Amino acid sequence: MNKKALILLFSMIALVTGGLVTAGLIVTSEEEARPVFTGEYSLGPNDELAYVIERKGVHTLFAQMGDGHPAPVYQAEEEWEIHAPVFTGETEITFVETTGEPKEPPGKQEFQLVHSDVKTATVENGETTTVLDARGYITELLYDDAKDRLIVNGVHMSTEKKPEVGFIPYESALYILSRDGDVEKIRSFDAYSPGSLQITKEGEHLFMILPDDFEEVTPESMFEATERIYEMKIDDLSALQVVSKEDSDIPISEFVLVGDGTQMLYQTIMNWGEGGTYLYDTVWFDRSTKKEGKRLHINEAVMNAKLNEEGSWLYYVKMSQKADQTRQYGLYRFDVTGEKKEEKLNIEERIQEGEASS
Amino acid sequence: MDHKVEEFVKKLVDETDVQKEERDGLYNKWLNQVYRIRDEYLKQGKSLEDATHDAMETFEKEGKRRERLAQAIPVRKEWLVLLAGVGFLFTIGQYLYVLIGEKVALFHLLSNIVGHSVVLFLALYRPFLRQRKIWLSLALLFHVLLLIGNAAVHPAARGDHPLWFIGFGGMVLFNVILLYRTVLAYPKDSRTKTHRRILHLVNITLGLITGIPAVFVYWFMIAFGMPAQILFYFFVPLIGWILLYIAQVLLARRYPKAAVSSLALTVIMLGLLWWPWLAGYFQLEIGFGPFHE
Repeated sequence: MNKKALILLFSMIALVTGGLVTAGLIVTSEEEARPVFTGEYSLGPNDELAYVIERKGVHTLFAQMGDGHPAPVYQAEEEWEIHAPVFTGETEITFVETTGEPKEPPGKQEFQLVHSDVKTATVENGETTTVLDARGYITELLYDDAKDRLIVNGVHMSTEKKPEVGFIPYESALYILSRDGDVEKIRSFDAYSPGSLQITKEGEHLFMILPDDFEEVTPESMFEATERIYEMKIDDLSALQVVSKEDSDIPISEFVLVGDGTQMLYQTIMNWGEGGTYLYDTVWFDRSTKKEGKRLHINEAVMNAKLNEEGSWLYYVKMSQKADQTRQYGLYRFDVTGEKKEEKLNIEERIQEGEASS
Repeated sequence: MDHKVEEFVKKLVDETDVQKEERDGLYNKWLNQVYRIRDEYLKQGKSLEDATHDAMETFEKEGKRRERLAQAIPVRKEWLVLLAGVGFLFTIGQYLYVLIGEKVALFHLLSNIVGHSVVLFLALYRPFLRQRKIWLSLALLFHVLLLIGNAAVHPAARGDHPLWFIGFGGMVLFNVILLYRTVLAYPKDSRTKTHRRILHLVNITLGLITGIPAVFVYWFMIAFGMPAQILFYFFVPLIGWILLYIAQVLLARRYPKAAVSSLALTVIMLGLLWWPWLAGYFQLEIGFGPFHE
């Protein structure tokens, strides 16, 4: 091949490569400008939705009341994240604004150095009040409707102005937070943080998922522990009772209380001990007989599950990884009583539609 | 007299591994070189017969022979073009598949294009390099390492498409075959070719099957919290192995048997890549993490 032909050929290769890079840059910048659901959401008493959207690194809390377009309620400061929104009134949402989980790898994180504020915003005018200004990492908020107060789950949470110096072994705790900002610790947990917090309607019992070695954790026991559902009386800390099957070693990773709490829906592994990839599904569970009922056949791992007030729709988030290993979240709901099965709530598209129409 | 020169050059060309379609070009090039040398001798006043004889001798003696051997093309040009062509389709296809399907631009994948281009360049532009065998071997090595490295960076980019596995596996296999063919090709009259082939075969095979897994294992160890200093155990044997390999190649020209014997050192050197694990197995103290527990 002569030199001219070679130069032509490699110029074309360079040109095509340049075109591919340009196309990539255009798609990347378009994607950055697109609203992205962070996986954090809340469900109101009449199926209102509050969810957190990230755009160009900025978190915004949106509320979707009825059939209207979603409207922004609160925009976080840059570098701050909005977590754990929860409806604390018909048109009031309380949430955590935090600097996020420490960036260090597990085992080296200094949670006392991050900040987490609890704030309340009203949907109509976006008026915001700060209920709590704390150090540490707040992972979950739960609204106790009966007593109009919040249950807070936090790691190394403190209201001290100066943080403790140096590495502190992981410890989480549950607190009661009143509307005027008073904090009262209920109970702490070494090495673990309880998950899927639920509260009964009267506000007396808390339910949560914990590994069964939570009372005496050792490095060895952590490998053998099984995640189970526990019930705790808020007024009686000693009474932490297993709710799920005690003789089972199959972990439970998500659950919701149904009705008065005698029935539950929990997520577990269907092919435990059979080898291969775990197959997750959500199944009914009767507390009185301690027996599992029918599967819902979601057939996938879900997170952040919530049942609506009527007990007809189970809402949950599915997480998947894109090719560049960034996570993407989708909000779904599943008809637990009827035939409609699963449907995806295209909240990102609804926000774009809302913005286009306004 | 010219007939004598033509016979001489034809014999030399026949000794090389040059493909049929390129023999004419090489034949004419070398014939001209011999004639130029003969013209010089004629100018010096030698007779045509002496000048022809001396020219042929000089052509051989002056190291042209070595250059000629270096020009030997061990693999067919078409194969290299095929490898590069499939590579371009694979890389661009994968990039666009992810870009359109997931709206994610995997820019790192485009670095494969550098590897494909180098292979394509060496396939199409031949007169450029004196040591083309070495350059082609390095290009093929670079190409396959880029392919494997890029596939490993973002495993999700594989997609779940069986075509990806067929394309990727086929290309790596084809690339490795071409690499072996390039490195193991020697002129028929080379006395040391068997020893040198053994040398390359052992070094490349052991290098690939110990080096690439070692990269992944060390990377995992660091990702799971081991200090970066652990890479000391990777780079020292790796550099040692590369230096040893170069020394063996140089040694093999004169002392082929000694070079082959020194392969025992190669095994030890590459084994050292796995020293932290071997030390752990034999419960030896080496000073890092869990290995001495």
